[in-house]
Amino acid sequence: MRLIIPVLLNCALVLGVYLADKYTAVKKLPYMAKQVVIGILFGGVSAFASSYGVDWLGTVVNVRDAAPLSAGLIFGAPAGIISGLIGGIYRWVSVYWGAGTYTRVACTIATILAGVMAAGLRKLMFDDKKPTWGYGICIAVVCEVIHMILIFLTNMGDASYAFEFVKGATAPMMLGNSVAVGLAIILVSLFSHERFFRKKTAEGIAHTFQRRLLSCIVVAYLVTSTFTLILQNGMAQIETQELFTVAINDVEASVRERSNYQLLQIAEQVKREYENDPTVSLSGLTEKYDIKEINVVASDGMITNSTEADVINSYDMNSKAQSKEFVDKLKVQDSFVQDYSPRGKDGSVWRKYAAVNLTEGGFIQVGHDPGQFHKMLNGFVIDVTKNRHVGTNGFVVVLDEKLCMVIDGGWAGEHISSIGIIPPEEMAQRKTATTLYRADIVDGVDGRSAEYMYVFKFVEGYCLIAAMPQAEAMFMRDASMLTSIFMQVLIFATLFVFIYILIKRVIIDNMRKINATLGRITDGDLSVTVDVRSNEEFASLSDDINSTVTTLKRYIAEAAARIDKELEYAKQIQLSALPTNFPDDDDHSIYAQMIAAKEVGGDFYDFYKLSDTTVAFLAADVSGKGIPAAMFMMTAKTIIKALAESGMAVNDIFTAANEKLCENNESGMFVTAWMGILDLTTGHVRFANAGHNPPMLKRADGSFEYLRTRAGFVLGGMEGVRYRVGELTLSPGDRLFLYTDGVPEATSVRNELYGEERLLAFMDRNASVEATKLLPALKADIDNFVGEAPQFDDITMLMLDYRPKKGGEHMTDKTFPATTGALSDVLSFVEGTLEGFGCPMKIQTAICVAIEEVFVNVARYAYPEGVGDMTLRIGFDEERRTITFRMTDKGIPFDPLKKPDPDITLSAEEREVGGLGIFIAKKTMDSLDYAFENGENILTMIKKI
Amino acid sequence: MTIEIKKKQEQTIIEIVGRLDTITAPALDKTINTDIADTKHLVLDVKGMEYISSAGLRVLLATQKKMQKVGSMKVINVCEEVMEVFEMTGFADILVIE
Repeated sequence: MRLIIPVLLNCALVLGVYLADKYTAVKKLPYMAKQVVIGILFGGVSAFASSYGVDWLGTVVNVRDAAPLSAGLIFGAPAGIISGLIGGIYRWVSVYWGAGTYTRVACTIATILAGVMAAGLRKLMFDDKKPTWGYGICIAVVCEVIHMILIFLTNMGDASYAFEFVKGATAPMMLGNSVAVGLAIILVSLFSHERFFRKKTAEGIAHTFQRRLLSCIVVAYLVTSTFTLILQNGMAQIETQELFTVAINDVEASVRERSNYQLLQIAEQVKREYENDPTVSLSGLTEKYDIKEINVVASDGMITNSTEADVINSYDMNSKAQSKEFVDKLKVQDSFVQDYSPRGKDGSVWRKYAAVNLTEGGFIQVGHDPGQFHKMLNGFVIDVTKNRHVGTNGFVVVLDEKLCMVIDGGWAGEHISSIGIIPPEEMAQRKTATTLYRADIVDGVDGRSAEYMYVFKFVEGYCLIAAMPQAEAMFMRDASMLTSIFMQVLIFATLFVFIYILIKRVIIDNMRKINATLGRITDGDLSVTVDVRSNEEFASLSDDINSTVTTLKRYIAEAAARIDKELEYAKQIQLSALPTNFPDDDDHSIYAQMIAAKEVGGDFYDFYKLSDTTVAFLAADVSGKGIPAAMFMMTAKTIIKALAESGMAVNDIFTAANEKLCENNESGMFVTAWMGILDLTTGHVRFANAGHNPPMLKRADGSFEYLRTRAGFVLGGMEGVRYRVGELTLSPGDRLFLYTDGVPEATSVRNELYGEERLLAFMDRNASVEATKLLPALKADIDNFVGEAPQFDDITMLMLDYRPKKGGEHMTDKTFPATTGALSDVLSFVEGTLEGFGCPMKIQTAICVAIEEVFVNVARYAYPEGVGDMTLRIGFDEERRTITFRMTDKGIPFDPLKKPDPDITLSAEEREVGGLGIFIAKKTMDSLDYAFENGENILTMIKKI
Repeated sequence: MTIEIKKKQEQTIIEIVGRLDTITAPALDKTINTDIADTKHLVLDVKGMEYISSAGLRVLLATQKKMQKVGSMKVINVCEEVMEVFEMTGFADILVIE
């Protein structure tokens, strides 16, 4: 019971260390530091257990080995070794303060070995992980077996004492240590929420193998142990029997020799006296030599003279087997002594006879009766058996015919049952024992009884008993049994470990290696090869896997090549959808480039003339890349173009395109776009932005600037989005640069972005370079910046140059006060100018009406609080035969074009009087455009002539 | 612009020569509403009128609305330029043009 305390202490420490490592700052300590601390702690427990044990035969039975085992198995190899060393060294030096020296060497070695064994097994067998509790118990048991064997080995000089010690210490030490280790592992498992028993499906080969191998080893161990037990038991019996036989035969021989010799001596003397005087009185001789009977036998076997009157000349010695033996023997030898046996003539009488040949033929026979025989022998028998030992503590005792002991001392003449031997059947029948008997025999000295084994034999009327204590008889058996069982445990455990490690090295490690490589292959790394060549099977498996991977690589390469080709076609189709007939007219030019990141991209640009004087242009970027993006791009491009060509305003184009793109857009793709519609005659641009990068605008006399406006939501992103229109007016020489985010977001190998700053700087440095050279130069600059990094996104660039004819000789302007009174002057100016252009009268009139309407409008409404001016500029494009009127005032912002047109189908009664003026202007002119810029209302009208 | 008023039986004929624009239209409006306010059948002879703007149209519309309640109004001798404006603005359907 005392052993429970160190067992519990060990468990408590295991749990404490485990929880501390899991939940406190201890976790952060480096591995080796933790191991050293754990090693020292468990070394302490080991030392404590060493002195806190149970006394047994002068030394202390304890559970010292549990701590190093726990430390090594649960926490790590170094901890196990350290605590084993501490525990072992403590045991060695503890002799100086009173610990037993008997097991000093064995215990020291065993404790160190426990630490080393735990460390080694954890590393070699359990992949440096905590074993299950079953293994913990087994390892503790094996460790204790080694401990016991060491005790034997270090105390070979006194095997029986060592044996006694081991016999008593084995059970408590094995139990204590294995419970301590098993319990500790179970506790840790409980707190780490592990399964107690492994789930069968999750078991690896190593574990299955461990389990099966363990079962086989246990069965083999049991079989060999049983066999050894049976064999040793039989051997011990035979040896004991042999020992008894030797002792009994020895006594028997002495007794027989002595009795034969005495009677033969008597027979010789009787013969001498008879031959000296054949008439001598035979009965006188019997008295003289204290014998019972004398017979003189003729050579033919007839008794011629005898002390027994009834046999003289009437008994033929040949008539009975007992007497015939004498006749037969004495024909070939001079004398013969017969064993004590029943008389031939009368079987109920026991006699011992001896006979010698007479010189003149025949022989003379003398016989003792039992009384005389035993009287003569008893003293001798006592002497023969007195100091005879069987083994160390065994003895021989002789019984007379009544089974009473023929010995000296207190027990003399007592019946055999008085010392505890109840005569078995064979003894009662005066037969020699055919088996080993057992009885509790009372020791004559101290009266204590012990279990003895004995046999007996009847000789010359005596019963010889040889007996030996059972413990002594079976000592060798038990000792060799225990050692052989211990050795077998050790051998099988070693065998188990070695076979397991071998299998692990040869098969499992290789399989893990192959699995790891296969894992990398299935993760997509086809460049790895399997190279396990430790044996033929694995070499061929490696080769097979490698050739499979090679084949796979080839197929993938072929498929990739095919896809590449198809993507190349897709790219051609996509590129062919982008216009390349870049206009380079007198009034504007457009140049654009799209460089896809992959074979097909999601970027696009587009431009087309909506009328003779308006051109639409846009740059767009579809989310995503590859085929899906390209297909979405085609759709978006087509929709936008169709809407644009229907004459919608640019913001309405986006609003409608968004609705269409949202339909059935399950893939969730969207497109950012910046689209402008340029009026070539006025330079006026109306644009819309759907989440796109701000374009760059360069004024003829300035530098590039980002044209930042509030962007609308992306196209295709959400239904119901409405887009605003933005406006700007280009002056001759202005440039507008559209691009996609592939430009500023081009990324270098150092993960830097090209960026808007760099883009602006580049564009400024090359502000006046022709677009056809500028765009490739920009791409080259980006490439140079990006370096080796792959192009991440599509790059699209579009440059619009606005450069209408300066129109010097054909342009004129004049400023008027904005009052209706000035109308005549205005109209005179218009008519005068138009006449100069050679404009037909009819058109002049129409134009004048329109100009009047607009001017009157300005005069009436633009300056509500005072007087202002209105400037009219008239330009004439001779080649295109268009006249442009640009009327500018600084009045309140007012877009006359927004006013709804009057319904001209109504009857006179229903018609309103207002709203006709601008309507007439709209109808008369080929185009009207309003803008409010720099505090000026600008209305531009174009008329063809 | 010059306006000349002629009476012929029940009809009142107004001959307009010149431009009927923002500046001259008020004069025509005044003439129609004061000088010939009681006429039942109005004939606008625009043979000499080569120009009309929305201000003129407004006067024509107002006169048309008034005359169709009390009698009739017609416009005669419309030149091509003016006719274009009438057609452009839907006045060709409102006015009686001969």
